[in-house]
This record gives sequence, structure tokens and C-alpha cells, in this order.
Amino acid sequence: MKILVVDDYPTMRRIVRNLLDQIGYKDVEEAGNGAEALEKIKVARYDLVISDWNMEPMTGLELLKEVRGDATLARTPFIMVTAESKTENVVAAKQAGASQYIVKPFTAETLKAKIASVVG
Amino acid sequence: MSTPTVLRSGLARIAGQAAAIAGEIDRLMGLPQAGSANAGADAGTAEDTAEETDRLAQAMEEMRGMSKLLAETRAEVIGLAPPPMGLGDTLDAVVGETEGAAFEILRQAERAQAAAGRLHAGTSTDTGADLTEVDEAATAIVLACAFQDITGQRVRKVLSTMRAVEARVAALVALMGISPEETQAPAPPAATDEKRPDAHLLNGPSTAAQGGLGQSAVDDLFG
Repeated sequence: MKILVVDDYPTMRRIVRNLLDQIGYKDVEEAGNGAEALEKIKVARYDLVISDWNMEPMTGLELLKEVRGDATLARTPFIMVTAESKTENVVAAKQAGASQYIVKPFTAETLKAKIASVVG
Repeated sequence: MSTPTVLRSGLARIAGQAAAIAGEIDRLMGLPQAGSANAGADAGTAEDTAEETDRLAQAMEEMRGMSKLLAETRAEVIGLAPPPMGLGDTLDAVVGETEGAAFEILRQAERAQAAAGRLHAGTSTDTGADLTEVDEAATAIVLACAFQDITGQRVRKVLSTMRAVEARVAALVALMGISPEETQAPAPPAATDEKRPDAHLLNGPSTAAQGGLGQSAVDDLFG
């Protein structure tokens, strides 16, 4: 399974990549913001996108809306992993089509469970 | 002298000077206008000229007094202004040190994971060396955690300065007669956030008291 990890902090990308490796997912690529991720997604097919929210110039929510608005990408599982933990954030992400929502900081078990719930 | 005491005495001096300035202005406004007091008298006499000169000299003296008081008030306000601090540089250093430590911890953890993986899988060509690898990585992780001492000191320094700034700003707000209602007016959003369509949702990390949800509450909402 090919996974794209999107976060503006290299440390967080490395942590998620490490956890994915421990879970057993080795085919992982990275992007530093929503715009960079969108370019990658349009070129290569990903089976799962794991994205932070607060990034510049394109946020994770904007990326999610772009993905859901493109018929060829719309069915891609999309997990939001973010420190934005207010009700309004969760509701907005759900309405935009997020598959799952993980609040930072999170555990390996949470990540594993959410991935399992969206990719089966 | 403590900061609050300095502020109180500074404010008291400024209040006194403001009252003095107001008095000077009242006196100046109350002076008869040159040429208007004896409108019916003959103009150009030596007596009138001397009287006007006296009035002008008195007005000039009042103006000098006001100027001196304004200069002293300005000095008092400067005394209340925040000192140069370099808070941004200090916080930048905290971010850099934290990121550096996190990377080092990750690097060492991955080193230990790799060695442990070889030992678990039975593919290790030198068991003793791999055990040493795990041990050394653990020690390196312990040492990397020393960043917290340095960053903690930096953050405490920033907090201390912020509290001093807060007290000075509050004193200046009181000096300017700004009401509490005015100070609670919402600040305009940061320029960088304004461009993003979801700027109103970019709250950053929130504690439970600030309305932040835990994972189980999020799961309930996502249901």
C-alpha cells in the first residue's frame, strides 16, 4: 500500500513514517504542505493520504477539498492528523470528507486502528 | 524598587505633570488677547506697547513651562516602554533546539530498532555488537533529552519578560485612559492567515479548558 504523509514539520513526518514502518507499511512518501502533496497526488496514485491541517501555502483542509473535488481522486482514503482539536475543526473536516481524524499527540495504536478502519 | 512600585510612582508623576500641563493651558487660555483688552484706547502708545510686550513675555514663559513639562512626561512614558528583548530570537532558538533533539532521538531510536529487529529476526551476524548498539542508542536518547533543561530556561526567561511587558502595557493602557471594554475588542487576524479560506479554523493546539477534544470525543463526533 502506497501512503503519502503530509506535514510541514520534518520531525512529525519522520515520526509517522517510523510508526508506519513498525506497523508494516514500507511504501511511504512525504510532502511538506498541501500544494506539494496535491502535485504528487495528481502524478502518482496513493492508497492513503495522512495529512496535517495547519500548513502553508495550502492547508490540509484545502488539500482534502481538492482531493474530494477531483473525480479521479475523490475515493482516496484521507486521514487528518492535527493539533486542531476543537469541535468546529472536527465537524469541518468531516463535512469536507475526511475518512478519519486523529488528534496530536497520538499513539501508534490509534494510528494503526484508524488506518485499519479506512483501508480495511 | 519593584516593577509595580516603579510603575505606580511613574504614573503618579505623569498624572501630576498632566494636571500641571492642564493648569498651564487654562492660564494661557485665560490671558487677555493682545490688542483686544483696550480696543477703545489709542493704539501705538508707549504704555500699550509695554503692556503687550509683558503679555508676550508671560505667554512665552508659560509656553516654556509647558514644553518642559511635556519633555518630562515623554521621559516618564519612555521609562514605561518595554525594553529591547529579542524574544523572537529566543523562541526561534527553542524551536531549533527542540527540533534538533527530536531528530537525534528519532535517529537513535531507529538505530536501536534496526539492531533489535536483527536480533528478533535471527539475522544478526554479531549478537554482542547489536546488543551494544541498542545500549548505546538508549544512552544517546537519554543525553539528547538534556535539551529540555536549556529550552526550559529559555522559555522561563521569555515568560518572565512577557510578564514585565504585560505590566508595562497595562500601565500604559491605564495612563491613556483606555477602558477595559476597548482592550477586549478582538484583534485583527494575522496577515498570513487572512489569505487562507480556513483561517477562522486555525486555532492551534487547545487545552480541554479551551475547548480542545480528546481522541475519544473526536471519534464520537466522527462516529
